[in-house]
Amino acid sequence: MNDHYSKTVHRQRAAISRRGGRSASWHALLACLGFCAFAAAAAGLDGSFEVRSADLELKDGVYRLNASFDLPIGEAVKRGLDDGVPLTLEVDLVVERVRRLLPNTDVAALTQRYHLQYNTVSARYVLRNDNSGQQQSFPTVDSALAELSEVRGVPVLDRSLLSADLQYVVNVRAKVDYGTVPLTLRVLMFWVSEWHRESDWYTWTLQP
Amino acid sequence: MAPRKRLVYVDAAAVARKYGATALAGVGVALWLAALLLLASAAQNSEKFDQWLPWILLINIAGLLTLLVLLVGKLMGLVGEYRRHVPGSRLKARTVAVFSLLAVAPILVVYYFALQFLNRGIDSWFEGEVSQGLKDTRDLSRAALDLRVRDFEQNTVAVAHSLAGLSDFDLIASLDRARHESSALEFTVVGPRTRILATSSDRPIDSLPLPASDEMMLQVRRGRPFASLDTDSAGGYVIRAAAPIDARGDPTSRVLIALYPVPEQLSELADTVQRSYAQYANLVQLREPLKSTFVLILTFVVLLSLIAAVYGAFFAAQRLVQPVQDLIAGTRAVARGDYDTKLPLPSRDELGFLVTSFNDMTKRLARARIETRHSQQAVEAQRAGLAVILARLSTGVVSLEADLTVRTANQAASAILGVDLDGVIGKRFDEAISDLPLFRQFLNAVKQRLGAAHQDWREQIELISDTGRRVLMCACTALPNDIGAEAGVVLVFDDITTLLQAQRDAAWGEVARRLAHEIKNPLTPIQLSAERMRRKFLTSMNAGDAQVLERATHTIIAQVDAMKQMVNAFSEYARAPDLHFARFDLNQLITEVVDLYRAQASNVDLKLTLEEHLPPLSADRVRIRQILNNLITNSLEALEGRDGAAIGIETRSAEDGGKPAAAIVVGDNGPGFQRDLIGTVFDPYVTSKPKGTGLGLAIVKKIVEEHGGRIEADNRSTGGARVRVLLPLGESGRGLGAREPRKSEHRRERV
Repeated sequence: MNDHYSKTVHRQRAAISRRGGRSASWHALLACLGFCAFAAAAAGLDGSFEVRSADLELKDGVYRLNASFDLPIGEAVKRGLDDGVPLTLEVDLVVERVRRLLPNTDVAALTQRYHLQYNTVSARYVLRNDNSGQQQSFPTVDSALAELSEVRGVPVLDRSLLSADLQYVVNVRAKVDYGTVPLTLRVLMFWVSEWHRESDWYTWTLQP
Repeated sequence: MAPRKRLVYVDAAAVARKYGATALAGVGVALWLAALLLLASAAQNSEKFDQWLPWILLINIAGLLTLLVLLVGKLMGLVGEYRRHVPGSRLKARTVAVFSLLAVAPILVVYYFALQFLNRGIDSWFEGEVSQGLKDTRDLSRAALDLRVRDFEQNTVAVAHSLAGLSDFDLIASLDRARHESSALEFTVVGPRTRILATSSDRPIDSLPLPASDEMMLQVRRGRPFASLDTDSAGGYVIRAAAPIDARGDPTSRVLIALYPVPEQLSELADTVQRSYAQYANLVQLREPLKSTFVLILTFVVLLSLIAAVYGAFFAAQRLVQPVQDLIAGTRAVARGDYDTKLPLPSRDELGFLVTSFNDMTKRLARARIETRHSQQAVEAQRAGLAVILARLSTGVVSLEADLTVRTANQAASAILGVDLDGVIGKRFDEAISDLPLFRQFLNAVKQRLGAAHQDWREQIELISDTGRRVLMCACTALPNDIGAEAGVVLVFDDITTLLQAQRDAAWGEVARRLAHEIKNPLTPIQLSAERMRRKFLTSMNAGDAQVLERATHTIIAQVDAMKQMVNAFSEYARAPDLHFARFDLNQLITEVVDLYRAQASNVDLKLTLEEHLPPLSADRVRIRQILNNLITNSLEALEGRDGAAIGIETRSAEDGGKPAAAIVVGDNGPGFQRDLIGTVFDPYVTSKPKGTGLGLAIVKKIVEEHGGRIEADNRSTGGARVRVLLPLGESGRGLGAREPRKSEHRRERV
C-alpha cells in the first residue's frame, strides 16, 4: 500500500514538474553539459536550497500555508542585491487527492511569488508579494532575507473543499531566481544554472 | 564479344558506409535546421522555450557529435588507407590537408578576432564612466530627496510637539488641522503596542492607515525621530516619518506617524534612476556569464564550422580523388592484361576528359590485343606448317642466334650431322656438342665463315668421317632483325655426297663407254696387223732383225691384249646388263665362291662366319657372285706377300633404312684403305695397288646399287680393310634400288 502510494505520488510530481516547464531531461542535459559549465559561479546562487519546513494550518475554516526555506544566498549574492539585482522566490503548492488504482487528481494548486529588490534611491530593500501587491521595505538585506525565508498564513483552500473520508497529499516546492535574465539571453545562457534554483518537493499527507 | 565489365566494386559494406553516412548527414542537417527553427520560435515564448530547449540542445549536440563521429571515421579510414598504401590515399590526404587548412585557417582567424571583439565589446558596456554616472545620478537623486525627507522629518517633529499634552479625543481635530496645514497625506497617532489612537488621511477611504514598522518604532522609542523614503504599491515614492509626542523615555508614549507625498515628477525621475541602476547592476552580474556564454556559443559554432569544413574537405577530396583512384585501378587492371576495364565518367571537366581518353585507350588496346592474337595465331599456324615442312625436308635447316644459340633445327639436320639437335635447342651450338668429329668439322667450317662480315654465303663443305668423305652444300643467310640488333643466321645444308658420287659414276660410265668405243675397235686391227707382220716377215729376216721383230710384235700383241682387258673391264663397268632375279641361298653361294679361292690361294686363311638362318636372297646370282669375286680378289691382292694373311667373310641379318637386309662383310688383315682415299675407294681408277685397274670396287658398288643395296668401306680397328654390303631381302629390295636397264644404257652397251 505504501509502495503504491509512493509511486503514485512520484508520478504526480513528475506531472507537476512538466507543468512547471522543467523536466528531468533538463537535468540530464545539464549533466551532459557539465564539461562546459564554467560559469561565473562566484556571482551566482550558492549553497543548498530546500524547503526546511511546511504545514497547513486550519484557521477560520481556511487552510493556510506556513513554510520556511533555506535560501542559497551567499555573500556574493548579497552584494549583488546591494547593487540592485532582484531576487525572486516562487512557492508552488499542490494539493492532490489520493486515488487507488488511478493517478492522483489535483484539488488545489497555488503559486506565490515574492520579489525582493534593493531600491538604490531610497536605500531600502523592498519585498513585494506579487500575488497580493503588498510590499515591505527593510533597511538591511538580512532583515529582508529573513522575512523572505518565512511564509506565514498564506490562504490555500477552504476546508469545505476537502472530504474527511479522503486522503490528500500536499506538495510544496520553491524556486528562486537571482537576477533578471532577458529571454534572448536565456536562450544563450541556458547552461548557466547559478541564476536559478529549484528545491525538491516537500510532501506530506493531509487528513482533513 | 565478351561483355564489358565496369570497374565497380559491389561491396555492400562500402555502399552502406557511403550512402549510410550521407543519409545520416542528411538527417542530421534536417534535424539541425528544425532545431534552429524551434529555437527561433521558442525565443518568442517563455513556456515553449522551457519546453523545447532541452530537445533543441540535444539535437544540436547530437548533430555536432554525429559530425564528429563521421569525421573521426573518415580520418581513421584515411589513416588506414594511407598505411595500407591504397592508391590515391596520399593524394587524398594531401588534398584533405590543404582543403582543411584553407578552411580552418580563416575560421580560426575569425574566431580569434571575434573573441577579442566579444570580450572587449562586452567590457565596453561596463566602462567606468557609465557606472560612475549612474552612481552620481543616484547620489543626486538621494540628495534631492534627502533634503525633502529632512524637511518632512522636522515638520513631523513640530506637529508631534504641537500634539503633546492633548487628550486622545482632541487628537483627531488637531491632526486634521495639522494635516491641512502641511502637505502630508496622512497623520496617524499610535499608542502603546502601536494601537492607532487617531488618524487623519487624504488617501482613498479604503486605504488602511500606514502601519508602524518595527524599525520605525524602535527608533522612535529611543527618542529619535524617524524618516525614510519608501515606495508604495503603485510604484511611486512616499516619505514616511515618525516622531514621539510625549516625553522621551516613556514606553507608553504616543507616536505620530506621517506620510508625505513625493512630487510626481520627482518620483518618476527617482523611479527611472532606480530602474536604470538596477538594470545596470543586473547586467554587471551577467557580465562574466554573458562573456562565457558568448565564447562558448562562438566556440560551438566555430567547432561546428571546423568539423563541417574538414568533413567538406573530405567530401571534396573524395570527389576529386575518386577519378584518380579509378584511373589507378584501371591502369593496374590494364597492366594485368584486363583491357576490358571501363571507368565511370565522373564529370565533363578535365578529369572527365582524362577518363574518356583512358577508356578510349583501353578500347583500342583491347582491339589491338584481339588483332595481335589473330596475327599470333596466323603466325603460329604458319610456323606449324613451316615446322612440318622443315621436318619433312631432306635438307638440314638450323637457325642460330647471334651468339650461336640454336633456335631451331629440323630432323634432316640431325640426320645429316649425325647428332640429336633437338636436345641442344636453346644452347650454344659450339658448346652443346663437342665430342663428334664430324660435327666438329662442320662447326669449324661454319664458324670460320660466320666470322666474316658478310653472312650470306653458299659453299660446299667437305667432311671426313670413318665411312668416307661427306660433302655438304651449305648456305647461310642472315635473319632479319627489326630492332637493328645483331641478327642470327639460318644454315641450310644438304648432303650431296651421293649426288656427287652419282655424277662421278655417270661421268666414269661415259668415259668407259667412250674408251670402249674409241679404243676397243682399233685394237683388233692392230693385233691382227702385228700378227701378220710377224708371220710374213719373221721367216724372211735375219736372226737379229727377226729377234727385234719378234720382241716388237710380241710386245704389241701383249699390250693390245692388256688394253683389250682394260677396255673389257671398262665395258663391264659401263654395261648395264639385264638382271635376272632369283631366290637363292647367299650362304651357299659364298661357300661355293670361297671354295674356289681356297684352292687357288692356299696361303690365305679364308674364314667364313655365316648366319645359319639367313633368309634367301632375291637377286641376280651371277652379279652377286661377281661381287664376291671382286671383293675376295681385292683382299687377296691386298694380302699378297703377307704372312698370316686372312680373309673373313661374314653374313648376318641386318636392317637398312628400317627394312630387312642381308649383310655381307668382307674383311682382311692387310694394310687397309689409305685414309685420304677412303671416301673415293668406290670411284673408278682409285686404287693403291700398282697393277689394279681401280674398277673392282667401282663395279661392286655399281652392282650393289643395281640391287637397291648399300656398300660401305672402312678400316678395321685391329687393322685391315673392311667392306660391308647390305642387300635388301625379299621383293622390297628390287623395287627400291634395282632398276631395269634403260634404253640409253642398252644403247651405250651396244656401243
